[in-house]
Amino acid sequence: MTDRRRMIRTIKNRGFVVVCVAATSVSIAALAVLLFAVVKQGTKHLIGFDRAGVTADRAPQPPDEFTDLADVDWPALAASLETPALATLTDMPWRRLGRAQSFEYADEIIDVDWPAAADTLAWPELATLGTVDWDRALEVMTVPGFGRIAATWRNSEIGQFVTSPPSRRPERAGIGPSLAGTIWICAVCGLVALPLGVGTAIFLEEYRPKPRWARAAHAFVQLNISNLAGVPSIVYGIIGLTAFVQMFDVLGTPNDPWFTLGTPDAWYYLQVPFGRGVLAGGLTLMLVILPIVIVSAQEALRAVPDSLRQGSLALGSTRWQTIRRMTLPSAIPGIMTGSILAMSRAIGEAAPVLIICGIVFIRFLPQNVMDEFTALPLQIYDWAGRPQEDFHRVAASGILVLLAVLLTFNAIAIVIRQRFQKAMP
Amino acid sequence: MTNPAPAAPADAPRTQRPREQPVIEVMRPKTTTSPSATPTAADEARVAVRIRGLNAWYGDFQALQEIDLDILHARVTALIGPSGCGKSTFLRWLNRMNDLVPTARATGTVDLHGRDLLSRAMDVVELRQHVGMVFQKPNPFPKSIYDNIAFGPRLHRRIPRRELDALVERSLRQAALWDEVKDRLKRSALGLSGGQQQRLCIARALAVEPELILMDEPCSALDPKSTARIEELIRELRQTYTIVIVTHNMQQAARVSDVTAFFCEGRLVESGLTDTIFTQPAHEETENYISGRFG
Repeated sequence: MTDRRRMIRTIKNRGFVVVCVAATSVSIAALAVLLFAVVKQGTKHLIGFDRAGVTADRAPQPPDEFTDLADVDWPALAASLETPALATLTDMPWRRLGRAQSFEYADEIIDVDWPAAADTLAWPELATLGTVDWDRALEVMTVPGFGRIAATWRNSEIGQFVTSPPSRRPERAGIGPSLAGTIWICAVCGLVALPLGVGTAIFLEEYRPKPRWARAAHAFVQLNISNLAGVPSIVYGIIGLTAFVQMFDVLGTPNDPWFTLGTPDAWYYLQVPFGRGVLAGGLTLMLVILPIVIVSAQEALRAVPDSLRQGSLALGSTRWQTIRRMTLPSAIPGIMTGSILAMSRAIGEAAPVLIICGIVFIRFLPQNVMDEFTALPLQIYDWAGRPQEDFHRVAASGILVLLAVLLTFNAIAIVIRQRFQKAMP
Repeated sequence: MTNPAPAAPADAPRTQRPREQPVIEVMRPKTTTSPSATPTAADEARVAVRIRGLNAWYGDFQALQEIDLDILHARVTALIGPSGCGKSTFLRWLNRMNDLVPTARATGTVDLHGRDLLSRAMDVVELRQHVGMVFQKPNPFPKSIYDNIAFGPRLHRRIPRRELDALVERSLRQAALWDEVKDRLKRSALGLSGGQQQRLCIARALAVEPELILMDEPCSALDPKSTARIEELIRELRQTYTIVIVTHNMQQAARVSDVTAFFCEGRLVESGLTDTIFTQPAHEETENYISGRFG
């Protein structure tokens, strides 16, 4: 009897270990498969993608942006291609043409219906451009203004992918604007969420009220913040749309703002309501991660032993001095780790940003916090949804870049934690 | 004891509590009731803190009942009694650490230099600069030894480096720690042994130059050797500081204190010269407790 029970006990004990090991192995295997798949798909685009005909000769890169066409030395090009008609393009109203949607990208210059464009713009010479060998022209055209380093970086495959704007052609497609957009909104998000979240956490954790009603209110707020951490992020997108983009329509509309500071091309341009810009996107992401930042900062503060607080208070420090000199320094590693993990969640968040900016095609980097933007997850989503298989590889490359950004963030978190913990020998 | 009960200091403005006097007489034997019935050796000592009618609650639970006690200047007062008898609560009201407990409240007067510590107008932060505290478990800050000592003084004013160095050295010397740590002032205080940590905490309390030092079972987490060092330190500090020490260790109370107060179930059962309390306790409860028959 006792032997049997002992055996059962042993089996249960061993079985438990087996289950744990199995679960761990499965998750590690899943992670490995995931990484393998992404890397396999992604590297096809980044490295060794067959770009014959496009990048056969790395040196002169064709311009990516149709506005770049305005900068092309057309007479020189005309001479090199022995096509005098090209010289006329110097006076071409490229930007107007772009706006007229004759073509969206430089490489579409090939497909432009030149006779029709000549009609639209009342410029008969344009009709002759239909005979130009545009494929060759694209290879020879160089865009002035790039430094050598920039050119080298841009010409490497990864560099090109990371810096160049999206394109209709998968082999040309890059994530420049979406990477920049992600960095912008995450900067806004972090700059707002960190002080706000840590401040709230300090208030909730360190300033416990005495009256009974205040304690009830305190508990209510605490409960709600914990609940907010579980709200689906798309809900925050809607909040961001009404609160930041439109401001409940009480302060004019985004196109007819109630308040503006500077002009739209100034770096400090500001308008109220914010419109579908970087600021609205960043603030919406801030809403998403704020509860996470608060909760993790609270936990970090709670982990600071009470004896330290009491020791500090017993020396005659005020509550603020205790927080500033004792509690906060001790909690910084935990707060930073939690906040940076929350930031990595913000980087990967697609749903709320989708509601703010939509799937837009943007070839420019944001210049101020009111500029339109797009984000990495959205760009990846866009590519993954296209029918061409080549774009799926581009999407995988985008995922690799996203992972690299995430890993960088987590590495920063680890470094900060180590540094603060090692601050004391 | 033949000491007449109403030997209250003439200048003390005893405005309060004519009505409660009889209650105390019922509660305790007359010899020990009167706070002024302090022993002859302490007679010439002036009173540092005068506690009258202190009641303290945690929520609905009354932790202290009508405590009357005089804490004498430049003497060591030991508070003894079984667990939960309210001696720590008493101690923590002397520097208002109980303010941190949301449900804690107290009535009565705790008089330090003519100011009532319990009054709402009392600036707790300023009070704690005058009344230092050493805790049960050593709680060095996760900073360097130097910064631990300098923490208190730096809170209150900007101090030139040289002055601060001198202050740190003086505090560490007073706490008999200087020789052991003088070569590693910049190293973490967490690397010290338990006994050293506790002496560091004492040095830290001394650095703000308090008048009164409260010690809440300062040796309970230490080995006998460290305990002996701390006790020695307490005896040295007695010359300059008023010390109130809570202890579970009767021998320790006998060794280090001049005055002993015995608490039981929230009441002050008996207080007097340590020698008297330990040799001729006036109260049966006290005798039972110190002889180990209960508690």
